[in-house]
Amino acid sequence: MKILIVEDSERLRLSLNIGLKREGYAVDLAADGEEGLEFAFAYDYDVIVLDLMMPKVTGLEVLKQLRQREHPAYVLILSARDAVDDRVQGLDLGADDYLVKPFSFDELCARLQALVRRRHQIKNPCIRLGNLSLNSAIRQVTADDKALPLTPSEYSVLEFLILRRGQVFSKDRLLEQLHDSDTEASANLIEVLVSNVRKKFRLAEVECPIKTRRRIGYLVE
Amino acid sequence: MPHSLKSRLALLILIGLGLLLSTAGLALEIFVTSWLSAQFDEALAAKARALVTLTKQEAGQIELDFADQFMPEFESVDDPEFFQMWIDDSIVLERSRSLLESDLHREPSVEISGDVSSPRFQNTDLPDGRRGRQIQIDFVPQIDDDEDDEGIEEVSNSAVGLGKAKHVVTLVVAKSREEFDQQLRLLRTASLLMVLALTGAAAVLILAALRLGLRPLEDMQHQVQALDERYLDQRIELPKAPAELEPVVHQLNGLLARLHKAFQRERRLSDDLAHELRTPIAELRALTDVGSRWPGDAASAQTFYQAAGDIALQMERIVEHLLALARMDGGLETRKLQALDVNATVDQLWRAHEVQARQRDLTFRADIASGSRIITDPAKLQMILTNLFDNAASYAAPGSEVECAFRREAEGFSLSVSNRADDIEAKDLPLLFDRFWRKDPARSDSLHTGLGLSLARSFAELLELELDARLEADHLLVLRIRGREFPLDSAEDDSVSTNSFHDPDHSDLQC
Repeated sequence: MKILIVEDSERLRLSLNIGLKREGYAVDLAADGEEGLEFAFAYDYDVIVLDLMMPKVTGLEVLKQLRQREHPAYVLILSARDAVDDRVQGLDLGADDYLVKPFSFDELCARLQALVRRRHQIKNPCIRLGNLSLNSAIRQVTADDKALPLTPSEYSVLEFLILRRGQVFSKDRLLEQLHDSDTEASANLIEVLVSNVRKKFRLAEVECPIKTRRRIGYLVE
Repeated sequence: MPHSLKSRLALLILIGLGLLLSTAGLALEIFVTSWLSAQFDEALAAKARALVTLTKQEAGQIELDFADQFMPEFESVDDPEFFQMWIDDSIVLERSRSLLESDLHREPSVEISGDVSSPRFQNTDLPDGRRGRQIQIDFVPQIDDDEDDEGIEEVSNSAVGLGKAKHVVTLVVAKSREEFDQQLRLLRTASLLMVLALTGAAAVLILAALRLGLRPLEDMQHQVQALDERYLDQRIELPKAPAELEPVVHQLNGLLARLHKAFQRERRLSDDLAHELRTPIAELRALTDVGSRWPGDAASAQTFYQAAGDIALQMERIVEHLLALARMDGGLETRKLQALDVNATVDQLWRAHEVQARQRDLTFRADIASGSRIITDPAKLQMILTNLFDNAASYAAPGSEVECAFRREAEGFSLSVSNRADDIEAKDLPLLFDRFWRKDPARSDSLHTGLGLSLARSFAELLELELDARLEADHLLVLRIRGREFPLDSAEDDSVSTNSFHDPDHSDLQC
C-alpha cells in the first residue's frame, strides 16, 4: 500500500515515515501543500494523510483540488484543529477520515487499514482464499490456522495481489506501488520478495497463491 | 405583581383608572340622588304648603278649605297620596280620603317661633304597606277676620270649634317613594354599568396603547434573547427607537462589539495555544509510539532522542514565556533602575542576531547619538530589544535593512526598530502583540512561540513605556518603545556596563 504524508512538521514526518515503512507501507513525504499536490498527481496512492494548517497551500485547498480533479486516493486529515466545525468542513470537502493531533500511532495504522479496505470494498479485515487467511488488522497470514512468518514487505506484496485478485502486475508496477517514489531499489527486489514468500509457503507445506505470468508479471487468481 | 413590565403597567393603570372612574361614578350618583331626593322632598313640601295655606282659624274654628277635585291624588285608588292634620297633637282635623280610617305616623309637634315650623322629612311605611316618604309641618293657621264670606261656597267642611285661642296644627303629607327608589336603582345600575363599560374600554385602549408604545422594548427583548455567544457579531437593530432606548441600544451594541472582539481574541488564543501545544505533543507521541514499537532500531532511536529533546526545549520555551507573562500579569516582576548606555546595549544585542541576519542578507543600522543614556531597568529593556531584534532578524524581508533609532523627546525618549515586512498588513497590527499570534497560521516554525511581542509589551508596561506598531510606506514595520525616562536619582547604582548584559543567546524569553 502506498501512502503520501503531507505534513509541515518535520519531526512528525520523520516518525510517521519510519513507523509506517516498518508496518510495510510505501511512504512518500511532502513538507507543504504545494509539494503534496505535485506528489499526489504524479504517483498513485491508496491513502493521503493530510495536515490542514500548512504553509503555501493549506490542507483544505489541497483537498479541494484533489476532489475537483477526481483524485481516487482516500484522504485522512491529521490536524490539531479539533472543533466540530473543522471536522465537518474537512469531511464535507471530501476527506474520508479525520484524526486529531495528538494521536496514537496504532489508531492511525488502524484507520489507514480501514481506508484501504474501503478502497477495495472489503468490510471484513480477514480475507479468506481457500485454506489461506489474510488478516489486515494484524497484518498476518495464516494457512490451515498456522501463521506464516512473513516480513512486512513480503506481507505487503501478498496483500497487494490478493486485494487485486485476477489482475496481473509487472515487477516495475509492484515496485512503484510497494516502495517510496524516490527508492533506488530495482525490480529485482520484487522478484526476491515473491521468491521469499513462496519459500515460506513451501516450508509450511501450503500452496502459494502468487502465480507468475511469464514476461508479464505476478497475480493471485 | 406580574413580572412583565407591560402587565405591571396595564394592571397599575387599570387599577388607577378603575378607582378614578368608580369615585367619579359614586360622586355622580350621590349628587344625582341628592338632587332627585331634594326635588322629591320639594314636591312634597309644595303640596304641604298648599294644604297649610288652605287651613284657617275663623270664628273660633279651625277649618281646612280643601276640595278633593283639585288634589285628586289624595283620593286616588292607584298610587294614592296621603295627608292628615291634627290640632294640638290630639284632635284630628282632617285626613285624606285615601287614608280611610287609618293614621299617618306623626312626631310630636315642636315649638315654633313664627307661624310655620321647619319641615321634617322622614321615610315611613304607608298605610297601604308601601314604602313612602312624609313631611311634617307644624303651623299656626292664619286667622281669618273677614266675617263676610257669605258669597264663597264651602268646598270642604272640616272644621273644629276651639274658641279664639291660638292652636298648633300638625300636617303630615306622605306619598309613596317606591317609584322614586326604582328610578334611583336604575340610575345606580346605569352608573355602575357605565363605570364597568368605561373601565373595560379603557383596558382595551390601555393594552393597545401599551402594546404599541412598548413594541420597541419588546423588539429589543426578542433580539437580546436571541443573542448567543456563537453569534456575537449580531447587533440590536431598532429602526425607530424611542429616545429613552437609543442610549441603551447604543451601549448594548458597543458592549456586544467589545464582547465579540474579546471572544474572537479569546477563541483565537485558545486555538493558537491548542495548536502551539498539540503539534509538539503529537510529534512526541508519534516518536515514542514508533520508537517503542521497534525498540531494537538503534539508528532511529538516536534520531528520535534528538527530536524528543528538541520538542522538550520548544515546550520549555512556551512554558517559560507563559510563566513570565503570568508573573507580569500578577505584578510579581519588579523594576531595578540603573543608567543604561543605549548605544552599547543596542550594539551588543544586535550582535546576537548577526548570524541569522547575515543568512537572510539583512543589514543593520543604528541611528543613536553617541553617549545616549537613559534611566531604566536594563534587564527588562534588553528583553524588549532582544525580542524586537529577533522579530526583525526572523521576519524582515530578505535583503532589507533593519534600523534601530533612539530619539530624545520633550518628556522622555523613543526607541524604535523598523524593517520591511512584506507579509504584514494593516489589519495585522492590532494582533501583533496578542499572545500566540503568528502571521503564519501553519506555525511551522518551531523556534518561535508567538509570545515574544506579548512579552515585550508586558515588559514595556512594567517600565511605564508604550510599545506600539505602525506600518509605513513600502511595508515598513516600525515597532516603537516610547515613554518618560525615570529621574536620575531613582537609579540604584552606576551605569550598566556591557559586561553585565543579559545574554540574549541564553535568554529564555526570546520570542
